[in-house]
Amino acid sequence: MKPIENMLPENDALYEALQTLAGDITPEPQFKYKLEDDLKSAHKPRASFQISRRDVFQFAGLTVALALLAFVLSWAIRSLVPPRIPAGPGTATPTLVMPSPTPVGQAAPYVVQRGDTCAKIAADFNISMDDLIAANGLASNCANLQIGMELVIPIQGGIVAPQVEGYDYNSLTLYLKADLPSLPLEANVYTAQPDQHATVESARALALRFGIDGQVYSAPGELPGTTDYMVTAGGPRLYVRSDNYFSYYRDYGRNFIGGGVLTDEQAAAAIADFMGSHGFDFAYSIEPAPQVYGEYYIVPLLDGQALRYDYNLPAGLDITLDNDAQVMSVNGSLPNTQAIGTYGIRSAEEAFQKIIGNAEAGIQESMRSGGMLNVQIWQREYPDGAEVTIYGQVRFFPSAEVGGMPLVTLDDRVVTGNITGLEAAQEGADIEASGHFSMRDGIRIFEVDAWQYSPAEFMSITGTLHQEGSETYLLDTSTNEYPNAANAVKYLIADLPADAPFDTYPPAQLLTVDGMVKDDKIDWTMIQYFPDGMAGGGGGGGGSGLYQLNLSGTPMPLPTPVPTIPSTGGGGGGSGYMYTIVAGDTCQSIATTFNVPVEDLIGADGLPVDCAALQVDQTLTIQLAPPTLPQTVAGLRGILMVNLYYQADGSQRTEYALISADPDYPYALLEGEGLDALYDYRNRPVEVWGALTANAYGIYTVQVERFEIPFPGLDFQILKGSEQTAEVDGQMTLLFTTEDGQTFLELNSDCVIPTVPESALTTDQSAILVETLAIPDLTWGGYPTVCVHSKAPAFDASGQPVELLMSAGEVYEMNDPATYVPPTMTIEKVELVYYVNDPRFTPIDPNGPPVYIQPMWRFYGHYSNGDEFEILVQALQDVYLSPEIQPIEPPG
Amino acid sequence: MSLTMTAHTESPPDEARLARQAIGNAEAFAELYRRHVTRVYRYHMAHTGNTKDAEDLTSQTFMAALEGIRSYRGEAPFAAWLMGIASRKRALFFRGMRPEVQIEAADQIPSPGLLPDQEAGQRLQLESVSRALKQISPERAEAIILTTFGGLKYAEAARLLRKSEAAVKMLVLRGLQDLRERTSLSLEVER
Repeated sequence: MKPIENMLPENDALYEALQTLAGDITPEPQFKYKLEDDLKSAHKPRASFQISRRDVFQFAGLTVALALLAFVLSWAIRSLVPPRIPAGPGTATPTLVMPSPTPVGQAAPYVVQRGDTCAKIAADFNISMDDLIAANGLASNCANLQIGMELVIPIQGGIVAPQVEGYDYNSLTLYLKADLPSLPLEANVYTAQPDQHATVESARALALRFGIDGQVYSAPGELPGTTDYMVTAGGPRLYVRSDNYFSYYRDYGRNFIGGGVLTDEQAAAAIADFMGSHGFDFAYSIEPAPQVYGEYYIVPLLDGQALRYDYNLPAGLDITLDNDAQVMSVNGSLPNTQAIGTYGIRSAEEAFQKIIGNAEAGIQESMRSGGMLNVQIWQREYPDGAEVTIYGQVRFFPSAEVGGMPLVTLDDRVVTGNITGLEAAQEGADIEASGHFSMRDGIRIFEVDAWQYSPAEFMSITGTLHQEGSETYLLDTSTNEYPNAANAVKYLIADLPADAPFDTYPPAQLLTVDGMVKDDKIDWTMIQYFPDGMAGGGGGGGGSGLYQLNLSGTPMPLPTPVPTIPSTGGGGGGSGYMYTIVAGDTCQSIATTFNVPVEDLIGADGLPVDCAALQVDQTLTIQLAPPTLPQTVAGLRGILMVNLYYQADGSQRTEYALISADPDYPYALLEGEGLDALYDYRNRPVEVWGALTANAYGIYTVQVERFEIPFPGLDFQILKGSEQTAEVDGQMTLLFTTEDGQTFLELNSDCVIPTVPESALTTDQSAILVETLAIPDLTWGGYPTVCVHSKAPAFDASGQPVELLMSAGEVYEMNDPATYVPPTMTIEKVELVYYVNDPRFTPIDPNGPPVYIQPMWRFYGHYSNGDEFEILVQALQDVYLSPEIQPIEPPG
Repeated sequence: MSLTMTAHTESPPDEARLARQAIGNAEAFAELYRRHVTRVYRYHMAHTGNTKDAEDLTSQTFMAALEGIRSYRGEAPFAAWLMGIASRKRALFFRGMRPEVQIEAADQIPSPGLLPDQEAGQRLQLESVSRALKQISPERAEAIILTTFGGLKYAEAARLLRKSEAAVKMLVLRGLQDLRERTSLSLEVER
């Protein structure tokens, strides 16, 4: 018998059968089409997304990936991976931030707040409005002033404010306003251990600690495929996965947002009281949760250092206090830790050098929108005894106790009475029930007289409340974030709270209504109002990943950095790629990699390198000629893109760009007179003549002298036919065959890249509709081509023909990013923490590799626009790190 | 020459580019969607055993991917990144919503994704698979689902599960053994 290690699942008949079964499952074409449509609708830039220069720099040297960069300009946020751009040799020393070119001196920058106007700011700083406008390049009427913008405040009389030392960090300016601790010199490494899953007894015991003397029920497991316990005696509920992972709600289903009335001392006292009275005896620190008043993290301390997760979140207890400092909810995440040894760590100073030296890996950055989330919540309440109809999803919790009765809830309320037959309903089914609320044994329950499957549908609608005559409506603005939502879907709504806000202005002011929708009426259950809008929330991490640990005792050399691009300015001006020799490199291999002559490899002495004496870890500079671009283009053909930008003053700006097949400038903005004549040719081929320039961001622009429309009569067509995969020129592609037998090769809407088989709408050659452009002389692999803009199944689920609407004529609309100023970053706190990837959703395999809890230097601070960031640097010395990079968790 | 020369060895060469385009271009995202919707749907079908929830979770997965497309950094194949989101969505779904999935209730729901003549038999098979996979270790089940229904290569699944490639193969093999020995799963094997 073969050892299992040498076996392949592919040889297993069961595996094969599973694959066969999997291969037969395909989503319904109508569903695919609908979701694609929904995704396109949801794909809208938001006002709060802004670009930082480093996002742009990522592309600056990449001639291959420039397509559609202008979209990126309006879209990308800081959470994109920071490209590694050292400012050239000598970045280890601080560089001065260049003062903005103002005629007079300047003070520290001022960040524009809500309610500011140019006049108000000028008055506040006792300067003239003209000086303010001139110093910041604002429009003469100040129409482009935006919240979060950073303004230079010129100082009268030429008194130059002291310059603050800043560092170049991925092309943003980073200030260090915190001490770098000199200790400790070593730290422990721990492993996170699997926790003991709860039993009925342990769940009951934990519930008693929370004062719940109730029944134990089975509840959906927090981890996939597991069952947890829920203990309740009515109002309070405790969900228990184990003694370490649990959730407590004092009044389940009722949302609570505090008003920020507690002082830090009151909160700390309430938390100390809670910890003592509930049997939690670990050492902790308290951290107010971001955005939500009354929420605090109780962070466990290991050796005096906080235990933290990814995404700028700590481990521990997440606790919510109401305005009377009563505990409303507790979410527990307390990893079991086991110390495995003490290891040397780098100093905070060395960690900081890694940050400003743009280290390749071993760093993780994340950001989170700052400020407190201002929100008002109204929940539908019904008086006791009154006959009412409530709606909601039904849930069943089987009793975990011998002979116990299951718990049935509707919209999270415990129901009883005439619920015969309800047990046959599907979990989560929408139910409506008439009856009344009453108190029984101190528990509020809903006594059901009659129930039925609800003909209404539960929906959560973003919109605005609006009075028309005697009727009140909820206008759904989710698909149109611009103010004139004349075509918005609207729902009748009644019994609103007296203080519900009307005619709010999305997305700056955001209102969502949950409720049951039937016949264009909504019976609301909860209204949430965010008067300041809702910021983006957590941001993804940056950084190229963390090194895995190597505690074997045998050091493994870390990889040398991949080549990086020199910055275009500041900090010493490198003029080539820095490259560090690794074992196996030869001059020829490096020269081949970089596509340069061997003579262009420059050693530390500035002379061509001695190829006979290459040494591992030796640093080379590789002289790269700037890409040679033609000064002009003549008849450059591409697909025209038109973007419509909304500006802060309500006006619009139209941007034209060309996507060409030329790999050197696949995306170029078009500028010049008379371009509006191109408007009608969007998404169609045009040819342009003019001067070609690249700006500092690597964005190409053609100053259009003239243009031609090669196929003036070319129009989008809806074609009916079927598609099938085929290998063409060694590449798997899709061929589309029309009803009358013509075959085309499908290209993406850019008319450059062939579509791949995975993007087929159907695999059974059933009839589909495609919205296409066929450029007469454009072939690929010998086939005539169609550029595909959208696809739909030709028939819907009931066999009715589908009408595919033309979408290629639509224009992308977005808010104008033109006035964006990159924020600065200020480190306010530097501390050693213990770090592990959030283990809540990833069960720890007792037989798997160890899940390490490792020391990290945490640099915490704010962007100048108020957002928070943290940069974590692996603190263990290099000898304890392995060159392998840890996989990165996706968002979700 | 690309900035990160090691990055995209397992992704189709144009997916990193597409993902970049997709930050601002709905069409590019739609293209990624069309390429991967089937694997995401199959993955959710395997976990939920019914069309309604699989469609719901597929929608949620892609909406989250759209939100998070900026954070896709091209260091892992796009498929693996996407399946990571699918996996989290599925975890939240089972955590917040339902106990052991309602296989019996799923009987009521037609599965129009299957061809009519195959429908009944395959639906039953899928349900029994979904049920059986819940009776073995979640990690082994996940490894099986990712590599069969999710269509991931072992290396891709390995990134997602934070395991070595060999460890994933082991998980799959042991999971298959478990399915044979500890569940009543039997599938028609067509050679």
